Amino acid sequence: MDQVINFFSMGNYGAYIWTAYSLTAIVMLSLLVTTLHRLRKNQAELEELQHLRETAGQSNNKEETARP
Amino acid sequence: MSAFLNIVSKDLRLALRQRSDLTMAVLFFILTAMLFPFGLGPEPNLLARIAPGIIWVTALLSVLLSLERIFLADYEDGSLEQLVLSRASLEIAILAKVLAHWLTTGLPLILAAPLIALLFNMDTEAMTILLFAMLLGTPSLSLIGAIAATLTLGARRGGVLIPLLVLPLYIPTLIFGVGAIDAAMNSLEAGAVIANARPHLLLLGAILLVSLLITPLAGAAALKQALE
Amino acid sequence: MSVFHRFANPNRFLKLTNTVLPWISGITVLSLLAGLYMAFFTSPPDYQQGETVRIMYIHVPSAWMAMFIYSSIAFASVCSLIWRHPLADLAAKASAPIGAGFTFLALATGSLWGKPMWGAWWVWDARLTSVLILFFLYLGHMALMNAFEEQERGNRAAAVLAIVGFVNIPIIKFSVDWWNTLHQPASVMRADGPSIDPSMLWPLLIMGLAFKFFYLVVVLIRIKSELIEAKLRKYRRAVVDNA
Repeated sequence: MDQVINFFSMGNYGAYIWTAYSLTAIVMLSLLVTTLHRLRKNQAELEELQHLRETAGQSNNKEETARP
Repeated sequence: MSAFLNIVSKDLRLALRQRSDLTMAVLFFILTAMLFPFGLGPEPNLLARIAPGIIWVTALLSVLLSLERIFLADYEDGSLEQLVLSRASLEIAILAKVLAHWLTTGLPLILAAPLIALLFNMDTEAMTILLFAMLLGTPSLSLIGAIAATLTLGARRGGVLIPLLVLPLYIPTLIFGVGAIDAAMNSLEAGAVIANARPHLLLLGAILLVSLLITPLAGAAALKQALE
Repeated sequence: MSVFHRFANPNRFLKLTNTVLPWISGITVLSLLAGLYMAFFTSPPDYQQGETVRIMYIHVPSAWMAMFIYSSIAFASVCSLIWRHPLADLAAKASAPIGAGFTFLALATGSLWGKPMWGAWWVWDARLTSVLILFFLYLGHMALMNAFEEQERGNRAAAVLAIVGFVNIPIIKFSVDWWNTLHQPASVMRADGPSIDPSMLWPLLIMGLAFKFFYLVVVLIRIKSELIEAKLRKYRRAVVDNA
C-alpha cells in the first residue's frame, strides 16, 4: 500500500506530474475521438447518398430500357 | 520601371487625398506611446530605459492598422485583377505598393519617433541609432505585412486575421530594433555607440534583404490565387 | 460513377491507408504502453530534478512533434503549390490541428515542469518563447485556412503562409536566442542535453516514436475523412445541378 501511495505522490511532485500526463491524455484522446467521430459521420452520410443515388439510377435505367 | 513609378505615384496621390489615413498611423503612434508614462509613472530613468521597447512596439501596432489598406481598394475596384491579366510583373507591382505604403506609414513614423524619444528622455546618441534602426526596420514591417495583406484578400474578417498572421513574423525586427538602441544606451564611451549597435543594425539589414526577397514571391503567389 | 474516376489516385491512397492503419495503430499502442512503463518504472528520478524529470517523457516528444508537424505542413504546402497535388492540401489541413495540439502540450507540460523547478509557471526562456511563437504560427495557419467561403482558396492561402512561416522559423529562433542571451545570463534547462543517461534516453525515444505514430494514425484518418467530405460535396453539387 505504501508503495502505491509513494508512486502516486512522486516525491511530492505528483500534482505536477499527473496533471501533465492527464492533460496530454485529454488532448491526444480528444484529437482521436473528434477525428473518428467525423469519419463515422461522413461515412454514414456518404452511404446514405450512395444508396439514394443507386435507387435513383435503377429507376432511370428502367425507364431507358423500357423506352425502345 | 515606369509601371513601378506609376503605381507608387498613384497610391501616393490617393493617400494624400485621404489625409485622414495618413495621419491616423502617426496619431495612433504618438497617443499610445504617451499612455505609458501614465501607466508606469513619470520617473525619468525608468522611462528612458524602456523607451526603445515602447517606441518599437507602438510602431509595430501603428503599421498594423494600415496593412489591410495596401491592396483592398485595388482588389475591390478590380484594378488588381486587371494587373494580373495584363501580364505585367506582379512582383514589381507588389514592391511598388509596398514602397507607397512605407512612404505613407513608415516614413511618418520615423519622423514622429524623435518627438516620442524626447518625451521619454532619450539622449541624442540613442536617438540617432533609433532613427537608423527604424530606417532599416520599418520597410521590413511594410514588406512582411504586405504578404498578410495579399493572403487575406477576400477573407471573412480579414482585418482581424492580419495581426495574428503578422505579429509572430514581426518579432525578429522588434528584437533587433530594440537591441540596437539598448546597445547604444548601454555603451559607456561615446565612440563605442556605433560599434555596439552595429551587429543589430546589420541584422536588421539582413531581415530587410530577406523580406525583399520573400515578399514579391509570396505576394505574387497569393495575389494569383486570390484572383483565380 | 464519373465522380469516383476523378478520385482515382485518392482511391489508391484510401486502399493503402486501410491496409496500413491497423498496423500503425498497433505500433502506436504498443510503443505508448512500453514508453509509459519505462517512464514510470524503469527510469530513475533525476539527481537534480527528482521525479519531475518524468514530465520530460511527454514534454520533449510534444516539442519534437510541434516542429516535425510544422515542417510536414510546409512540405505538403510546397507540393500543393508546385504540383497541385490534391492530397497535399488535405494533408496540410489534417495536420494543423494535431500540430497545434502538440504545441499546446509542449507549452503546458513545460509550464508544469517549470513551476516546481524554476518556481514560476512561465519563464521567458529562449526555447519556451520560440515554441510560443510557433503556437501562434499554427493558430494563424488554421484561422487563414478557414477564413474563406471557398475551401480551395483557404488551402492555397494557408499553403503560402506555411511556407513563409517555415522560412521565418530559423530567423525567429535565432533572434529569440539572441534576445535571451542579452537578457538572461544562462539557460535554466539542462535535462535534455546530450549527456542524458540511457535509462532516460530509451523511454524518451520510445515515447517520441509513439507520438510520431499517433500523429500518423490520426492524420491518415483525417485525410480519409476529408476525402469522403470532398465526395459528399461533389454529390451535393450534382444533386443541386440536377434539380
